[in-house]
Amino acid sequence: MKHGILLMTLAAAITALIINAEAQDLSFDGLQAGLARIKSAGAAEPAPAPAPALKTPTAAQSRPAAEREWLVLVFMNGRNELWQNAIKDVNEMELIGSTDKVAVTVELGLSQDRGDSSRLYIRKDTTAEANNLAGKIVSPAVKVSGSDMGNWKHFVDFARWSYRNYPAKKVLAVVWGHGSGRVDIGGADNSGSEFGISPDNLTRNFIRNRQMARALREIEKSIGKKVSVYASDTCLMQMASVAYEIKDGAELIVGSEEITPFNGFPYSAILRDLAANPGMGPGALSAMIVDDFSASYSATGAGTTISAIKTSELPEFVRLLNDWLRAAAVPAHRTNLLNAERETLSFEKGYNGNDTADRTGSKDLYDFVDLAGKKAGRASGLHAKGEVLKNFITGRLVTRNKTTPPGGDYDRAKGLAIYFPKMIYDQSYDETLFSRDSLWDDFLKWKLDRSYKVK
Amino acid sequence: MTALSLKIRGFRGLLAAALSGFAVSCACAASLTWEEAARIAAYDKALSAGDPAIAEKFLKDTSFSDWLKLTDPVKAALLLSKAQAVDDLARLLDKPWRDEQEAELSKALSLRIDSGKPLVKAGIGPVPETLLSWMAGYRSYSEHKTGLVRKAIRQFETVFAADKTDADALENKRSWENRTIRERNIFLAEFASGKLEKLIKYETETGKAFREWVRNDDVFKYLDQAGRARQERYLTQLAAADAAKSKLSAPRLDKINDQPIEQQMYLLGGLFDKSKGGGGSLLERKVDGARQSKPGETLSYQNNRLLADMLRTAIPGELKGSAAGGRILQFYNSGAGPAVAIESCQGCYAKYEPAGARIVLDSEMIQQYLRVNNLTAETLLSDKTRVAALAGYLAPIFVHEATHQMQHSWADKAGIYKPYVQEDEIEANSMEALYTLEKLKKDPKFRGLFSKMRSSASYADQRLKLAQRFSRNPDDFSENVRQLYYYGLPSFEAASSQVLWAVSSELKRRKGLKADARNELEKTGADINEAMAMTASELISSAAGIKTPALLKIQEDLLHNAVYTGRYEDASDRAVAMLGAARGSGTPKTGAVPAL
Repeated sequence: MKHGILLMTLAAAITALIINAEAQDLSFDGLQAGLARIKSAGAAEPAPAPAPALKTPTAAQSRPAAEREWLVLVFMNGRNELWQNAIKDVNEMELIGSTDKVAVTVELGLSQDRGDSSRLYIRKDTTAEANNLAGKIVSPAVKVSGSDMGNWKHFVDFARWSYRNYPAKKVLAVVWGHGSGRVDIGGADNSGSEFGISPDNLTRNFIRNRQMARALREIEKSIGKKVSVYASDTCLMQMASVAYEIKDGAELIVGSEEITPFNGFPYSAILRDLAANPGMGPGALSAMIVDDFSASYSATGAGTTISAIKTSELPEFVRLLNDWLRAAAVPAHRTNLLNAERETLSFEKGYNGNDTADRTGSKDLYDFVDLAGKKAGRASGLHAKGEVLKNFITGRLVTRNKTTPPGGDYDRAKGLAIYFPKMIYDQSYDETLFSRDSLWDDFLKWKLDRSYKVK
Repeated sequence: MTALSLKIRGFRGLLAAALSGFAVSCACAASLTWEEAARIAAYDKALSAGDPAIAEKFLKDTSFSDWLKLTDPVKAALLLSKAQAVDDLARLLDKPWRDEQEAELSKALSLRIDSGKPLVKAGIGPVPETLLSWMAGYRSYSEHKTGLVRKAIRQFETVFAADKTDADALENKRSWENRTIRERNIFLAEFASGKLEKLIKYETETGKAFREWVRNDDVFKYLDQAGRARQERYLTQLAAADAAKSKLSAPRLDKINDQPIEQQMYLLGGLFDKSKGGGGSLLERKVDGARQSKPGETLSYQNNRLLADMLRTAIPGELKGSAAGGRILQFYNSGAGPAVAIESCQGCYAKYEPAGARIVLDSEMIQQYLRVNNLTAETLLSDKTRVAALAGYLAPIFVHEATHQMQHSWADKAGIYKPYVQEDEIEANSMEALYTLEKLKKDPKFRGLFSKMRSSASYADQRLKLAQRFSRNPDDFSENVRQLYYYGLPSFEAASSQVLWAVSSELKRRKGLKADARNELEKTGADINEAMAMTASELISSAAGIKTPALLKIQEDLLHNAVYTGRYEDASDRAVAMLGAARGSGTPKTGAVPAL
């Protein structure tokens, strides 16, 4: 999910545009107007786009004799209104290109590609048009007919192809497009209105968190090593239940608690810095992505969050969280906790409405624990356990965290969001590994129904 | 060659027209005789023009196609693919389609007429309007049917007001006509679903007039299958909420009326006394069936696993004593037993997952059962009779999914690639309906349970309707499955043609590659095991990255389509025979689901 389109598909966005613009007009006449508006907005209209050169990258032109330091593979799903940003980001990558130490590959799906994505090996654009970010993509590409950018297997297929052709010591895997945090396997109304990550408007498919975990396992099996850094260049994915679901598939997870601006990651800066120091490890690369992302938005005034999480710390995090929850979920703290929840930093730009199918309903965990501790009082056991948990989050679990603008509300975001339903608990949350191992699901049920027993 | 020569006579009219392509054919296959090459070229030309009569003739001309499969498998596959695609399209359109099936026909056409599909090489698609030219050339359908097809392909004038002639309107029309049916449907469905979504999220009205509007508003006819399911659920909720609210006092109503529907249902669910085991009044059950679970009613991760384990043994116990169930038990007894999981199924009641060889039952369906019967996970799990009752409730859909498992097992044993097609669903639905019919007749508890649940659970209602449809006319059942339930799934002929087209086109392309590129592909491509595990659409999209031996194997499998069609025919015959046997043993007469 990128900025401005709150967890909506393209059509929902279009509809919102139409409906909002025409007040209460819900008539069918809006359809024709909608068509015109889409065209003028440049979204979804199947129009010629800067085409990658459909030429298979050959071994001679692209692969060095030795294994590279890094393979950066970007699964770029522009099968929606983001397609222009996808082209822009590939052009950004071409400002740097692959090097003999860093290979960059992209699976590029666009809304106007009629289902045929392009598999690119990113080459530096040395033409006079290189700085035109809406311009022609020069990297050699392979056409992938009938591709489904919402299918986790297609992501795996792309990763395998990338590694087979451009093996490297370490792998950064990026999923680019829309994302909706924990909302993927049911949604609050369990009615098929799920969203997940990487929704493909053409195939109406998307990748669920559980499937992403499986995809990362399959990739590890294929390439013989774990993905070093998994990054979601999308909105809202940096949630406890998401990270916990995919923790075994990557060493570090980079993502945003909040909605991400359309421009997403600053690829030229990231690739430039990586090219300058290709020997860096996963920890350094994940920190660098966080820093470059934050730097690119610090001057714009945009409200952003981004963090890196060390997956090996997640089991201990759950232990400490459970410890805190056992102390918290008692009648004596109930009012304080409910008040703390109300004041806690909410994401989706402070959304505070109904529980609906496609709302993440997420808040910052650290902020909640902090507020709860303050309300309970410094002398309380809850405060003490909260301090331990908070220190663990900032000291060990979240290895890098940055927000913009400085001094704003997002200063309270410490890198990990968590689910907070208002009235209706999404029953599919019970099926997550996070619910298996943590007491957060029990806590939420207790929050919603005081008679519920946290076991 | 005598047989060949005789058959060529029917093609004299096409021979001359085909001669221009002959030289190319001869150059590609130097060992062919002039007559053989000309015959191939004639078929190719006629099929490339989308001639359905020639397509049918080619498919029946097995001596020729068998010979060609041996002589030039790629050419044979490309021709077979085109012939299957054209024949399948003609069959699809020849069926009777009712006005209210516009969306179903549209979906069925969108699966076939799109860029990259074999029909494009027969002159049909990706521009949808090419279908109308094809119909005019080869079919003499009624004006009514032609009109329905125009609507189904979403021709501009059938969707938008056509009285505007300004530049924008003309530009819109040009833009629209550049879209495929799939793209047009996506646009319309997303518009419709956006409108529905807004209602579900924010609208508080539940009255009868509002419900009528939601049911009949023109935009909603463009909802896709998932959207239509949402609309149905929404309507069920509106009706239940309206009925429940009519019993409330004004102060209680005030707390509910300003909420959107999900929240109204949730709050209404809290107003009933939930102490009555086995469920409350009809109204209470309707509300409970259509609302979300409360915290104490969900299945925790641990209870989920425990229940799945209990159902794994309890459901087979329910299958004993019925012919369809016995067939499933026989299958499981000959190998590993069933594996059962409970998960959110994304809009389905159950599914079979080949990768894990497990049957996934929808967690919401089970929670709905608990809510309607005033059960919690704890009260369920502590009582074996309650688990057995739930197992009985789930058994029909289990039979359905177990049939899919048997289909996969058959393909594995035969060592062939099997796409998932309508014919698989015809068999699975027949087995399920047979099972349901037998149980309705023989098992009063089963009958009572479904009688109670059908008013509050679409799952129960649909099981009964399916059984009734099968019982009423098993001969028409397969067409009902194709046109009413699984229009979004390709027929075997359509799927085979599309996979064959992708695979054979890739093999043809590969011949033109340089040796180093070919070697690279053979080194890095997906192997046979990976390819055999792919769905048809995955295979089509991945063809360029699959090793040649795997592509050749799949091409070989699909070229010999009698293996598949023979199985589908056997399954169909078996279902009818089983129904006959069941009737003979006292199962209900045609068309008669036992009174509930």
